[in-house]
Amino acid sequence: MKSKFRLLVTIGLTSVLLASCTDPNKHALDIGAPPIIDGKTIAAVRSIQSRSFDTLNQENLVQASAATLQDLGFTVGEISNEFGVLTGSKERDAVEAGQIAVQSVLVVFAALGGSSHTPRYDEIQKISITVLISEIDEKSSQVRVFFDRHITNNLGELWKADLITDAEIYQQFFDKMSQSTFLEENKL
Amino acid sequence: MVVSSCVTTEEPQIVMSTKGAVELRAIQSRKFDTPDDKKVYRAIIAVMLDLGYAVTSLEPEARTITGNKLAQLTLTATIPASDTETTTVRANAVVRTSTQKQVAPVQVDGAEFYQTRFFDPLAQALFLEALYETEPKELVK
Repeated sequence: MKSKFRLLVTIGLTSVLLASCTDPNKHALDIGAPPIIDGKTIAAVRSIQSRSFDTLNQENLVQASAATLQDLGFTVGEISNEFGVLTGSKERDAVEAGQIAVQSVLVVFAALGGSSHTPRYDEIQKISITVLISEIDEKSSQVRVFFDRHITNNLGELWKADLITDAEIYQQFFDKMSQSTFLEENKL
Repeated sequence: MVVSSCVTTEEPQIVMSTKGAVELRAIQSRKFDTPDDKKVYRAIIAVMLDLGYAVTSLEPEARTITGNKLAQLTLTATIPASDTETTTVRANAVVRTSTQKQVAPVQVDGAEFYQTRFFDPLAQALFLEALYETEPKELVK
């Protein structure tokens, strides 16, 4: 189902690429709708993205989150201790041999047919993360994490984007976060 | 606006709304019956995550936040004013209708977008009603 969602988003973006003269207000309404992923509503998605920690206060959790981002190879961007928010991003190579092979075949077929084809394939993947920490009470806080992914093609076009909803990826983050909170708590 | 959002040969700049400043302000602004602008600012951040925006820019001192959704929709929310009784929130969105570089992004000026895709969820998060500062021409209930 997740792959179906990604496929739909990709198809959506590709169709946007082709249909450039759409009504901006209608497009904003469509894109701005709350995400429903695999039939899950906001509450279900929020539960994948959130964990509570009962060992550190908000400020120390911000520091632990920043350390976790760095452990995972993210560059920390915006950070606010007061509001318990931080952002980060990292880029990596998204080139896949299979995509290039398909595009090469299309170039050859187009040439044989007397036309031309500009090859397009994934080149760079940028993953962004937003962390929001909310104090539940004096002893515990909730950490909410949000991942999304943008893929730029070889022509520099930002042509694919999706919200990452794979529970395993979030769990990996929280596992690292648990280690960071332990280190922060014990000042190691 | 639809025509001007199509492909141009010039460098793309944001296509601004043709609506008047007063009308646009009415569409984009609401006030909430709370003087706690910190609480409202936190709620804005949480609501933007709920709606699927990744935070791209944060200015807590200026009570401003910008988020981006699926590389197509950019929403900036700010708290321009708060007094002893109310806090005002203003939102501004810009949408890309194409991934082609030469297609200009467009300022969103539809009242329905701001009401249903931002102020309604924000009001729910705050357990408060989003009140119009001045009622826009096209009222969205």
